[in-house]
Amino acid sequence: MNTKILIVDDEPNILMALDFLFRKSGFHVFVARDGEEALALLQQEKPQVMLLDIMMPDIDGYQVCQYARRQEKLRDMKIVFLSAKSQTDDIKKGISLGADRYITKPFSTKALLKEVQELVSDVASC
Amino acid sequence: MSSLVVLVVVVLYLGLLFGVAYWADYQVRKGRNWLMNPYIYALSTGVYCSAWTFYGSVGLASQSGLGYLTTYLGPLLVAPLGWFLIRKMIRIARVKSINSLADFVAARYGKSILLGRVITLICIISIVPYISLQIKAITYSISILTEETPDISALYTTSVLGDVGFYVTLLLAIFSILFGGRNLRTRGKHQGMMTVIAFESLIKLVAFLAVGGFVCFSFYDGFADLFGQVQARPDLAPLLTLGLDELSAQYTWIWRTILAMLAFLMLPRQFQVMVIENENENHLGKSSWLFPLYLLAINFFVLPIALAGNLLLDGVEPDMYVLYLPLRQGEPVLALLAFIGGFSAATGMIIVSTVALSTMISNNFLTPSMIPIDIKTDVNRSAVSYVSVFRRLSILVVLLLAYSYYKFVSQYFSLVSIGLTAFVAIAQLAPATLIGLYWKKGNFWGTLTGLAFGLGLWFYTLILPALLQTGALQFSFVIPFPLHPEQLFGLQHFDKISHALFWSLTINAFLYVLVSSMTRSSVSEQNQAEIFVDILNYERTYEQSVAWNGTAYVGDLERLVEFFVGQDAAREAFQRYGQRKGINLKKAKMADAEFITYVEILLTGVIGAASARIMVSSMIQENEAMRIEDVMAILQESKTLISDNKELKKKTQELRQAGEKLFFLNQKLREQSRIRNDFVSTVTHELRTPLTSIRALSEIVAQNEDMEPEERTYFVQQIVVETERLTHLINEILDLERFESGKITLNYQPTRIRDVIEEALRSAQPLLENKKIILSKFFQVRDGLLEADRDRLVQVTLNLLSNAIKHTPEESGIIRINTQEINQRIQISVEDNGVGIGPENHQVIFEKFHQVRDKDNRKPQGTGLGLSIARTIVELHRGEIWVESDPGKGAKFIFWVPIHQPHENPSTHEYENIDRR
Repeated sequence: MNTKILIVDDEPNILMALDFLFRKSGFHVFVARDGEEALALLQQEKPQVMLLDIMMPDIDGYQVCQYARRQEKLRDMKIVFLSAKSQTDDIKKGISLGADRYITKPFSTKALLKEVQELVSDVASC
Repeated sequence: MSSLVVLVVVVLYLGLLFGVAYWADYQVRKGRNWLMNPYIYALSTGVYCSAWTFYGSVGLASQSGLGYLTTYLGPLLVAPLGWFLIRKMIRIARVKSINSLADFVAARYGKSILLGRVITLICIISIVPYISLQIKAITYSISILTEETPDISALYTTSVLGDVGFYVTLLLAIFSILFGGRNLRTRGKHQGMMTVIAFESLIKLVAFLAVGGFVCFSFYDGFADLFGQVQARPDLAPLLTLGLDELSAQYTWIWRTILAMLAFLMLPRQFQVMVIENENENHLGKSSWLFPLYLLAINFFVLPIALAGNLLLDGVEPDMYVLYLPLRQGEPVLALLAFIGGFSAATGMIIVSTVALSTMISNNFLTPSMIPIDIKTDVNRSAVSYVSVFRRLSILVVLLLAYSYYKFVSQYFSLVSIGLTAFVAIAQLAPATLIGLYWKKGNFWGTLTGLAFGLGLWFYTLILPALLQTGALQFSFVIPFPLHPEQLFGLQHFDKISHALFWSLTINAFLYVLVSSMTRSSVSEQNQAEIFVDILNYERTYEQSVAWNGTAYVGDLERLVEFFVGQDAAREAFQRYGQRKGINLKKAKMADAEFITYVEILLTGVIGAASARIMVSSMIQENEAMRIEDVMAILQESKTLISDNKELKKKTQELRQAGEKLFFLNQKLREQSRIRNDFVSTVTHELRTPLTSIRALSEIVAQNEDMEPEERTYFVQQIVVETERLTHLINEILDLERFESGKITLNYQPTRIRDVIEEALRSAQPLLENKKIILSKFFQVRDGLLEADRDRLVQVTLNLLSNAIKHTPEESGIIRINTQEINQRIQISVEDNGVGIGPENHQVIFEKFHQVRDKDNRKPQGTGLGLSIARTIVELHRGEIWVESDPGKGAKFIFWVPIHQPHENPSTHEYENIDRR
């Protein structure tokens, strides 16, 4: 079964690029354009990985992350923040909320893909 | 002897004690310090000699000769040889404001409340029976004086209300509450109690010497006569030897001496008088030879009295020879004096032990339990009163416990066994306390493990056999030999007490060292270990050395201290601190780590180390700006805290106002720097977003040659769109930056407003057509000529127009442009029928990068700089721009610019003014 990945970003073009990238690499991709959609998809699909933007209207990425980390059923889900916020404090906050990686925008698609694949194989080998 | 006489004597004596205590406190209040001298200190150390010494030693000596001496040999050795240990403890307790043994040990091991409680419990378990022993001695001695045939068992059967011991206990409770129940913050606070203890030490010594002297020189012709008569009695002669021929006797001597040494250091009452009540380390010097002298003196006549009792008395308890001898020989006054001596010994011990125990209970059980109580809810009642109430309550509880123990339990155990059993339990504190003074690696887990096993063995080897003996506990099976509680692993030649001490203490110390070596200390514990072990080097730098991370508001801390120590004492303490450090606390808003530590020390003196830690840490904040609500809440509370004193009220008000001003100033500065930081981070963020799309999309296009052609084309189109967005953004940022730094000045020229609108509309035409927007324009101007920078006004209009286009619905959008001439001004409004803007956003939408985002309008295109730039340009023209809108009913952006500009070119200068608004 393909690994389910949820990509959350309010930039349509980023979403489009990542959708293409991960679909091509064999992931089962879900996209959410804001925090609320993300929460709904988390509940519904229980993805193994979530790529998460931070700056989004209403429910931001931090809140989505916090929510996800409180869900027993999503315990093994890997969370990768993708954010243009690049200050150390932002990164610290992201990691302290339970994210597995924090990648700053703009990023190399190759590196991102590799990072996510590694994270997923970690789970598989456990 | 008539009981009335005895009663009157008791009451008079207690009255005298109250008087002495009151007088001593009065001296201190008057600022006379002469009572704080080494003689009082040495004499008060004599609280070691309790009723057990006064009566019990004689009893012991009458049975086993000089064996009783071990109890005094220990302290006799420690006082002169172990003074450096005591000095170190005094130094630590003073520097850290520690006020009980439990807090001392808890503080060493990371201020653990658990450890504080365990130690308090150990002390209660061992000292309460010990106190009950004193009550027993008092009541029994009274019954001996007043009854023809005193019967000890009758003591347990009389009703509580008919028992003179009960009333004595109550009076002692009152005394302890009055003179020992107060907070220990200011030095010399317990001077009354200490003076009474010293006085009682003197009285018991005089009484004992009087009885001894009388026995030796009145009943006999000196020592030679007495010892001669004893030598003549074969049954008594062995009492005159040390009896060390047997191995077991040697062990007994050694271990009992060790036991007494440790007890002397670890008994709560000794810790209280020697460490906590110590006023001056130098007093240790005199006391180190005065106290041994005192011990020698009070023991001098023990053996003679015991021997004389053996010779002269028959059928009475040896424990009470001191009373019986004068009584039976027809010396009632001497008997009364002896009674007073014993009474002194007992009451002294009771008072100090009770105060020491009650401090522990209050610090470790009662005060921490009140911490969850929100201080804010009960500001009218200062915690000073809480802490006092707790401590007084504890005193009462301890004494009632002791009384109950005496009344209902103690009949099953002998005097000496109770005392020595308590000693063994107390000695368990020694490894953690004493090794911890010199070994930094000693830690919490080591202490807990050592204590647990030490106490377990104490229980197994001493309490269990006693329970089995009295029949309180019955076993249906036989304990296998190696585990025999009194000969553990076959250890023989030891008496019960030595046997118990040997096992419990060695295992305790061994486990303490072992577990400490194997486990890691917490950081706070390492900190404490450092301070305890190196106290002699540390002392001066202590306040700078302790790590409190984060900061706290001085006001918070002051309030906290006021709450616990009272307003006057708090003010005094802060003044002292300020003077010492040469700083003005009234001007400081944030407390540094040093001040926080100082506050912790202040509180430790009142509520104990662990509680103080918790209270202070609740005030420490991470470096976050305080919310206005918090400030208001504090102000509100502070109001109720202000005393009735008008002057003070005024001062407090001034202080508060100054504080507020400082706070708001600080707030403003912080806000400004925040805005600047926000701008930079927003710019970077806004630049990164299109960059991300461009990079991701182009990488995909480059690496996937097999893409669907349409998809590929769309990706490339989006790269172009994002690139345009980026270019636009960079241009606008540069524009804004150039305006702000004054690099752009307005190029005023005669401008026709109609041309401005038309040019803007031409640029917006494709967008308007795309969305099929209906546009209408009205001109209510004569010639519409004005003095302005034409291109910039086009920019403003275009920005408003594209903003309107963005927010109008597709296919049903309507935009209306209205141009009017009013009072030498040209006013232009751009009105749309979009979602509109809530009143809360009417101001902020003109700020940089502000984009109103909501559900229906998920991601506005554009940079978030358009309106900001428009405002800048309009204001440079000396005009105004604003928005009128209701959510759901569209928005109307309006700006006006004057027709004529003043003649000098004002733009640069003018802009600066605008920026500073």
